[in-house]
Amino acid sequence: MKRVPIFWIMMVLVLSVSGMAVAASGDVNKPISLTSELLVSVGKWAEVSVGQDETIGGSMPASTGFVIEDDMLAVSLTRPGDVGLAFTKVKVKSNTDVSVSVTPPEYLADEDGNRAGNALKWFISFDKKDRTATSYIVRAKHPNTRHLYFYAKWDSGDNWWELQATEPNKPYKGTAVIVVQAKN
Amino acid sequence: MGVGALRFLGPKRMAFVLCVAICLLGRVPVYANIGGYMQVASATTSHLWTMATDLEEPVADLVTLSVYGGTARVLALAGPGVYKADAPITATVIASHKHWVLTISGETPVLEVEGQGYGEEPLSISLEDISLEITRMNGTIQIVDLAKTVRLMPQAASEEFKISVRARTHWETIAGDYRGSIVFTVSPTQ
Repeated sequence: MKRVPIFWIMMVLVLSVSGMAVAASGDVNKPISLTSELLVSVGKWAEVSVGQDETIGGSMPASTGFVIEDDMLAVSLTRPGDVGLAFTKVKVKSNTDVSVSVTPPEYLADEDGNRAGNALKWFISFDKKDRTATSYIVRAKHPNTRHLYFYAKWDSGDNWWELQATEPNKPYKGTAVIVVQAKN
Repeated sequence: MGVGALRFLGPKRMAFVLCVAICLLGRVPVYANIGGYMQVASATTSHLWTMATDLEEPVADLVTLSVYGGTARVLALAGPGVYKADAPITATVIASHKHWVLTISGETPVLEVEGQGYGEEPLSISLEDISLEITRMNGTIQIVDLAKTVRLMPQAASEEFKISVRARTHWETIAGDYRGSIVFTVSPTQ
């Protein structure tokens, strides 16, 4: 009867260590095999370039995405009725499905803080005519290149004079932000 | 002490206790003391343990293979590159002779996909992108990829192999968890 507790203690040990190691033994005339599981966890990743050749890459926690600021889109308007259109390339490649979006600046202002008046109509978009095209999807393993457009027009209506002329080297400016974010 | 324990526990329980000792210590050839034949087999997933205790069969040429470390986990989170598993795997062969060879082969890690996935083809990481850094007891290091079966001839009757797993990812490697396996086999040589 004294042997029974020892037996059960060993049973408990067997159950508790079964996850730590595996062993096999036997006659060497027959092969013996054991298998270890291999798990590779690959993170979400994207590379983005705006403008020329500079590329920015980063890992993307699904909740935050990452943000880049680069390049300059400039137009010159000399008289009422003028229209300017500037564009740049946005290249995206990723190992997961991502959304690419642009957030335009709230307003354009010179470096003294003077905002452009209502006579300046403008938008930033991935379509040169549709101001609402501010986002798109890039599928995993499918590199994508699109143009980002900055459209500006000096309205020639009755309020044309509300657009104050800028000082040399003090244009109206703003910062648009492109965000690449994992879909899920 | 072994004889006393054998009398105390009886042959079957003694064999059972020795199985546990092999599990815990791995490299102690305790089976040689009992004058019998014993087999411990395990599946890594179910941890099913079986035991035979035919005490009439001789113990000649008994070989034990042990694998420690469980799952080799590689976290490749910071973009394309080469990543090392968080902990090495240790494979130990215990034998009284050198008439064996340890082979290591791989089963391709395949992406676990939820929903519709990315098409018909299952996505995987090529075994060419899985490499093993194998360190032997004498300090020699061998780096091989799993695309070809690795054959390790013994330098001693009993040997321990420390294996660090590395995985290379490319920007096209779809994000997610890839599961495969590494198979260790000890076979006789002529």
